[in-house]
Amino acid sequence: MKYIDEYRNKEQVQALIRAIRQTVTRTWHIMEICGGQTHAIARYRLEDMLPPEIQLLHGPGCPVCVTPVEIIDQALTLARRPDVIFTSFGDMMRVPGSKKDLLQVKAKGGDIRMLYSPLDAVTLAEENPDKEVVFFAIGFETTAPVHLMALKEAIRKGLNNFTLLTSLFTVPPAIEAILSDKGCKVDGFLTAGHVCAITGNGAYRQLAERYKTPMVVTGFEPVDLLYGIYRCICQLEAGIYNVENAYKRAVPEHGNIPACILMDEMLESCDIEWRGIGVIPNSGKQLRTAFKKYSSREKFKFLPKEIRISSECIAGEIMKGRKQPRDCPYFGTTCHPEHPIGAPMVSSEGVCAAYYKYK
Amino acid sequence: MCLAVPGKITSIDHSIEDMTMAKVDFGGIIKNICVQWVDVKEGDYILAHAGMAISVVDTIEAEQTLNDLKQLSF
Repeated sequence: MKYIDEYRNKEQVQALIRAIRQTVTRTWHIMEICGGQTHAIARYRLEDMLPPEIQLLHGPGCPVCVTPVEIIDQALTLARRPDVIFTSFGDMMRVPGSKKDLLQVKAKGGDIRMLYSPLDAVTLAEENPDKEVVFFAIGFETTAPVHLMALKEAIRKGLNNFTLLTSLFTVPPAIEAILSDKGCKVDGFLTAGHVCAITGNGAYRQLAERYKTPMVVTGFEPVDLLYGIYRCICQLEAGIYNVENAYKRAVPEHGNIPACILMDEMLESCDIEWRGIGVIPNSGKQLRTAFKKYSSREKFKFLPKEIRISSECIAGEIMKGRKQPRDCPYFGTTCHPEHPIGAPMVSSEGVCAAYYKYK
Repeated sequence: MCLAVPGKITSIDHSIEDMTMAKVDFGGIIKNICVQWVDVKEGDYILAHAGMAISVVDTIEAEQTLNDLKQLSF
């Protein structure tokens, strides 16, 4: 397929590996943020091809993984209601709450539908006026405006039976939390290309400057990822720390302005817990007061709160770049994709699940 | 989760206000994608995420990146 095949080209991959080998003179720790990138790195065995000086660390950018247990439990509570059609991306179906997951609730008769797009949930609400349709609106900046587009469409159609159960995260505060952590090992970042396609690169310029850390906007195919790593190493070896765009075919400097306007209009920042990491101030997004009546939490006020389960895994240490999945005593033994204990084993884009499948 | 796939626009439907839709060809699979946020015409390539076109593939930049990469293939 055009704009994919060229970026999976074997000769190009080999040329980039050669270029990286010739450039690197010492150990560098580079963190990719996005779960999609983590998955591609594992799938194409890129770590096995890179010289040992390049250590990849795997960041917290998988919204499926970092959605807190409390919100999963809210989803389960809603999905059990006979008056609710609960709709979600398929990735969320097996994410464990404090006791169960959505698939188990569906098996017990919950009306749960897996959708490709939140826009499809609006159609469902229109076709089922006697039901409450809830969409499980998880995601980073890439996905948040798509949820809002669906909500706008529901409002335009005058639907009163459509709400969003939001679990929305933003990348820059997470990068800042990682960089300001005392034990931070990260020398450079590959930022998430499709997040930047929406937000543009502005926020990363401030971070790169403040923490003297290079940030390279990077795509998702093996050539894109190696090119991002190569550009990052060129900066590190030269002692510079700029934001550089290695994914220009998809990411304009200022992002997607209509999508950003929509987010500004409908969302405000909030503190949110990242599963495995904890609360990061101002790293979440929630509906503004004017749109609160379309929030499932407002409409269904009975939802459970502050449920905590103890976690024995080292997910937080992994997602901050301090440890690797194999450092965890539960990895591949009691914790595996069929029975995830921690967040990164939950989704195929979580680092532990990607390592389990491909390594 | 933040997966976005390139596809080629085969037709555009402006009939719904503020919700321009397009038929997009993803290597033979045709899907309806909302293109409200992007300025596109038939034949353009977009990146689709969860039913929305989030970006137009910049063909000049794509070419330039491939040329830059060729310089590395010494």
